[in-house]
Amino acid sequence: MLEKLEVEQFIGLGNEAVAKGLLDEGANYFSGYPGTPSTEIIEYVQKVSPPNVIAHWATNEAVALEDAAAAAISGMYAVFTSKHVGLNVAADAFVTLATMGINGGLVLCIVDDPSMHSSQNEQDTRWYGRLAHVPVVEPSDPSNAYHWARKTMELSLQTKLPVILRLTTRISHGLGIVEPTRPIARETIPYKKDPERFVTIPSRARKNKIRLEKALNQSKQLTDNVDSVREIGSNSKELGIIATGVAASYCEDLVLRYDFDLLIPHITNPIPKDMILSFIRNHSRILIVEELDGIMELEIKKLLFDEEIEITVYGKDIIPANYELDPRKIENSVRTLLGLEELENDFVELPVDSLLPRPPTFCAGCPHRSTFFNLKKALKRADVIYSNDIGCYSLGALPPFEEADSILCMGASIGMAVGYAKANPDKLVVSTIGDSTFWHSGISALVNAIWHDINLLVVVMDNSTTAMTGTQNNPSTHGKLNIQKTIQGMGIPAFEIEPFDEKEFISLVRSVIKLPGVKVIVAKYPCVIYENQLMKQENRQPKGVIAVSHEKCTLCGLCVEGLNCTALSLVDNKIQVDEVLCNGCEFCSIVCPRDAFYLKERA
Amino acid sequence: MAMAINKHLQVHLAGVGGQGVVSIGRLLVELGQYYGFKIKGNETHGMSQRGGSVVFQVRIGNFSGVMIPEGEADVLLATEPMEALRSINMLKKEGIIISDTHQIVPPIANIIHKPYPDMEIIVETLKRKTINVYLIPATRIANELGHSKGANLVLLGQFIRVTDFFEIKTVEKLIEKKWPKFKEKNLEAFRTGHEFMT
Repeated sequence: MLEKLEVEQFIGLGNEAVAKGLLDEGANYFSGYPGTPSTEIIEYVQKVSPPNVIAHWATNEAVALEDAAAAAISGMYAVFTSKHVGLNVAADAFVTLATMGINGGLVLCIVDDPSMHSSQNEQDTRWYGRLAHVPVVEPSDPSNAYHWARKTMELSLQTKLPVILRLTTRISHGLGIVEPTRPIARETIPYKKDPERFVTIPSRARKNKIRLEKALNQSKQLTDNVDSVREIGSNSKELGIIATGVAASYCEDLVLRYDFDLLIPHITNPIPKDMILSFIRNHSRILIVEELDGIMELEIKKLLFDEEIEITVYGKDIIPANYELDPRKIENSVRTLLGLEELENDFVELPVDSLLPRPPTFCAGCPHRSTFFNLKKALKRADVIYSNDIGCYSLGALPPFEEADSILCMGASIGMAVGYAKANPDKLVVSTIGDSTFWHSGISALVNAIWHDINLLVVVMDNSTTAMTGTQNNPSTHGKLNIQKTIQGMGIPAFEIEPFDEKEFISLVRSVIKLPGVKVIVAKYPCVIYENQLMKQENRQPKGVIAVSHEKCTLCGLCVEGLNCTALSLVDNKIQVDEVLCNGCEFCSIVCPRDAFYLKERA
Repeated sequence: MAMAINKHLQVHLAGVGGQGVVSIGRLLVELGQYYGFKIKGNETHGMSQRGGSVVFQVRIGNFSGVMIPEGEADVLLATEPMEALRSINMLKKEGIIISDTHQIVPPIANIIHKPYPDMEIIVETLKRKTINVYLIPATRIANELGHSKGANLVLLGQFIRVTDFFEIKTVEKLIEKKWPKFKEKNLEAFRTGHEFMT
């Protein structure tokens, strides 16, 4: 055990605990692509910015993992971060990298999003550990995420394998007290050429496969011991619960109140076989509690089959496989198994129509709102397939805009456009995509669309930042790369326009769609959140706020219905402005047919 | 002091993005830590300007999980009445509800053409869960104090009085430390909320 320090205890997000843990374990190279709920790991490192530590964003997850892999092959202690679907993008690099192994260390922090709070699916990353034959480590709460992050790096150093630290939303965005232990400084191992391992031509790749199996076997020996599990209880109860990840923390809250023992495996691939078997042998019934897929259940049932053990095992037959687990439901499952009545919840039924939905919408002053408004107006007579993408502008799918026929994955707005265009020659295909997603994977799809010579309008909403995940930088930030010029270099027409310029925008769209082939409009204006951050940094005065002339306003509703702006509302038969939320973009003033809005000074 | 008796406190905060729900949630977490409690919590990310519903849960005491099980929160602290209603079943029977009365009409109401629910129905439903309902015109009070962003602190003041879990002086010190720039205004909002009798 590491010596406990008296100082430096802090309250942190699980992601911050992970970042601190990795830094204290000697991590000195971080690369990733922002994605909720994984973003704060690299942000934390950038914020504390320790000397001799590199932490940056890459254009996409594949590039980020290749980047981190080369650092780890060069003997550094590297970390890759992404959300669960980000690992799909990086999977090509990941699976082969596992066969090559690394020289320093490499931890992949992958955050799953059960219940899809901000994701398009809820795939279970633990499968990837099995696919690539690498270890998977799972903390159970934000506080112990610190310890397990350190352990993951250690495991990578010992096995020379990339190792997955698998997190979920409630760990990453949960808060807890983090108690750091003594940091370790590590020397970077000097780079040494090793083409036998790192040049994966078939003859060498075959040897790598054998090396990988040896390394995974080695990790079996390393992990099947008391350090990789926690056991809570007397080990004498009739019911034994094996729980992993965040679900284990919910069971920990129950173990003192109910008659069961609890085993928490924290290294879940390869499973700590001996520890699990000895726990099972001490109980007559087993419940496996895990969020998402029944992976532990599958492994444990296989184990019981191999060992010819007959015992009742409950798992996904009573614990839901969809969405994140609710601690109350787990408690009721435990109660049922123990022959107790389910807890009454004194549930209050809500009267019909007593609740309105409150979905997120574009921020007040967001340039995307104007882009979608203009686009819809310009194309109101056209038969359009809107191919949307992943980012803030996914919100363009919701009323009043409803400009999304599909949202599949990063970059798919343009990738799908070819299929849409070929299958629907009578329709106009419009791809809407942001700057970060364009650089991520939209650009290669654009090359494909140009190559296949389809009729397509691409609207790149360039707000100079990766806004959805909280304004991380990307190639467009500070004008490092210019999207319009990049596309013009591909030999197709590309125009740049400000989204708040309604009339110009509409007439540009109407003239551009007459051009043959692929054409691009770059709707360029900085993200309002990013602008506000810059304004504070640079001590600039914010813009004024909108006011309403009630004499001029005829309550036509075009502003509140057409813009869905958080700063505007219709209350007591009056248009009202929330001066705290209004950012003074004046787009309401531009679209108002009665000229009823004006800008006034901020109080 | 009530603190010696109570060993834990679970607070479910609810509101609308931009209302400072996360700010006071974080402050409660820090208070708990200051008093030496174990702390767990969870927060909604990315809603500050987007006007969506926001939830922040604080678990002060010997908890491992970051989520309050449904029906176990001791207090529901809401910065908006319809958001209080949305979270009503997180509260335990006869728990405490503290809510601003100021309604924020979601922009979507004008698009789907549905009115904001009747305030009487909201209050009546809240009271079906518990008799301990404290409704405060926090936004109005904050505006009257010339501190339009201070409604969350008015509510915090009321929370500190009603729950009697933390000492007022400690809370004030923490408010000063956290936001030194707006110290006077914040303390005024907090104290007004503390003294407010519903």
